[in-house]
Amino acid sequence: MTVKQRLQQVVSEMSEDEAADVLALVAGARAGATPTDIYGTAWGKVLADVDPQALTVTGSPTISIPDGIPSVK
Amino acid sequence: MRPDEVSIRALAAGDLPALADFRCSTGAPWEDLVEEQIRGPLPRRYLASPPRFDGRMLIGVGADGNVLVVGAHHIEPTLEPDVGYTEVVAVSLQARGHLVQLPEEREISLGELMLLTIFKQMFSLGRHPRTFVRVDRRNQRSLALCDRVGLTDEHPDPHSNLLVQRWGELPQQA
Repeated sequence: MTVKQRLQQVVSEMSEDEAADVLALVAGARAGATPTDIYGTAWGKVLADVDPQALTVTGSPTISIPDGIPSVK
Repeated sequence: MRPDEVSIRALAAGDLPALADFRCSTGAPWEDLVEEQIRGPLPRRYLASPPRFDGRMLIGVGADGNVLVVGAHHIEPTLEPDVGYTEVVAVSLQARGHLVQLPEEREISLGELMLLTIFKQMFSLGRHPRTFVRVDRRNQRSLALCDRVGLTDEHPDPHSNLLVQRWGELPQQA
């Protein structure tokens, strides 16, 4: 089976939502632009110049996840 | 509210029309900013996230199909493993103040439920133990939420004097 035939098979098995997600991914990849967060900082640059202490693992978690919190894939 | 009255799942392209009507602001500038982003470019940014950032947007939907709460996080590829950054958590105006009943008689807000769901997802994805958010320093509601979930370590934000970073540490074992 050629790559094209395989892709045709995959696309034919997609729901409309899945196909729309794929189109959005392809559009993003082709645009090539780095996204920015809601404050206008480029993704990947948010931690530039951050206080190194913020990144230091203390081994004492401040966050606990109680029973009943859903798992999302 | 029982836990089964809100269903949290990954965003899909079919959710865009519902998010275009999402309202979470009562007029504070930091709320207006988040509402504009959710109604506008934010969901598409996450649907089209470049793989290296692994952007994930989650929505919590009520029994009537309405979007009650939204959250979005991606990685800031600085360290190994990657550091998880929760960019947005927003509760719809209609659901503001609603509490979710957890086992052991504990009640939490929808914002707390979303943040803890994101943290659980970060944990399962093997993110760096340190995780953070950026918050407008005038936003007392969000700062209080950070305190409740364990994002208690405050640092200046190098990019904006209007913001602070709130850091916390994820558990390293389930």
